[in-house]
Amino acid sequence: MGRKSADDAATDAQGRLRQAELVISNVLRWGVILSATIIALGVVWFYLDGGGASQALATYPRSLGGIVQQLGRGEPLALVALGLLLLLLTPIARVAISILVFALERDWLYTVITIIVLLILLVSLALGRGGA
Amino acid sequence: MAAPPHLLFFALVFAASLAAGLIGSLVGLGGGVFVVPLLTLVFGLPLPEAIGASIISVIATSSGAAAAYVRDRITNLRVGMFLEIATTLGAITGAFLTAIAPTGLLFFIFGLVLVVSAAPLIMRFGEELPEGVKNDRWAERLGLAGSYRDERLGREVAYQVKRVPLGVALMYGAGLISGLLGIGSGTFKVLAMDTAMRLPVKVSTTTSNFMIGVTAAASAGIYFQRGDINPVVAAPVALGVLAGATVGARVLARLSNRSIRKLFVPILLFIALSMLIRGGSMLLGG
Repeated sequence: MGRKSADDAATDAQGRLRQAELVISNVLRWGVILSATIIALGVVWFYLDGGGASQALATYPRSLGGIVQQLGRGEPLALVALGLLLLLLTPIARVAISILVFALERDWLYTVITIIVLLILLVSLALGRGGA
Repeated sequence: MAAPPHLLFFALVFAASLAAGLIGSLVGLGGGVFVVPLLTLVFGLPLPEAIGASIISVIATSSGAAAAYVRDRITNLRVGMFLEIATTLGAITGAFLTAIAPTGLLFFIFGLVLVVSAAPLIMRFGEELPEGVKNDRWAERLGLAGSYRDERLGREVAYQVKRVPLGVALMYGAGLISGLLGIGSGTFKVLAMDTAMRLPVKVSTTTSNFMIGVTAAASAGIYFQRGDINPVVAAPVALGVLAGATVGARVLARLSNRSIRKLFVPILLFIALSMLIRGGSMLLGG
């Protein structure tokens, strides 16, 4: 009896893991589709707008604030930059979601390992250094 | 800044990035090794912009393929997450050492390391799955063993993991190199997982793919703020690589591990050669 319920628990855990993996997979897919769509729309707008004739080349935005500001002025490259920024955030989102997934699985060792990874990422972002 | 914003430029960069994303997603690299020379040598773009675009390429390869890999459970998330600690610490160390590092010599040395590391891969050309691999103490404690559904073999493949401490040391080294030399280190990551830890090749390349995306994201914010990510250049790279990596993820599931290894070795040698040339010219040029 005891053996059987342990197996059931393992099956349950396996099921939760599959569920969690599907959530990660969907979040990633939609994140990527959304950023690709925004980039593509920005590119089409840019070329319809005259492309090279635009003064924007030297002044494309470098921060979220800059993106919002330039979008307000109707600058197509700001839309492209928004899509790119979204794409850059997907791996970090993936790590953050993984923390939740491991915690839901009650896999505390990997919850801690993943939190450490996220912290190192944030430190290296803050340091302004880090490898490619 | 001098990006030629012609449609032809867009189309050519898109096509080349599609190929880079396809190959990168199969063999666990970010495609920077193809994108950077194309943008600098062929289109004459300044190096910082090319590197900015290559960071985009790495992340697009990683995220573009990831959705499929996670669903098929090919990526070993535990192995990737655990080793990512070593890689990111290595990358930070490397970034601090750049000022004092003999860059030319390092390119040359690591180029040679790659050439040498091709030998065990070539010797295992015929191997589909590693056999007789037993978990070491660390793999047992960390629960690194896993399984994935292999479409090619039509069955679930269970595998164990060995030489974890060596894998960790190599991953730290991979991070160190990428921090020091500003290059991606997917090749070194695949080698660490394939040759040292003896994971199945597909698991090694897809897990490397996961890891390079995370590591690149750590530095991407900096490139973005510095203005190295020029939307005109990065857009065709991002869209091309995303499309290529999505296709690559589907292809990978159907390829045999043997074919992936055969694809990896020439690319490894190409990267080794380009590192040797770069190191050599830096050494000779002073």
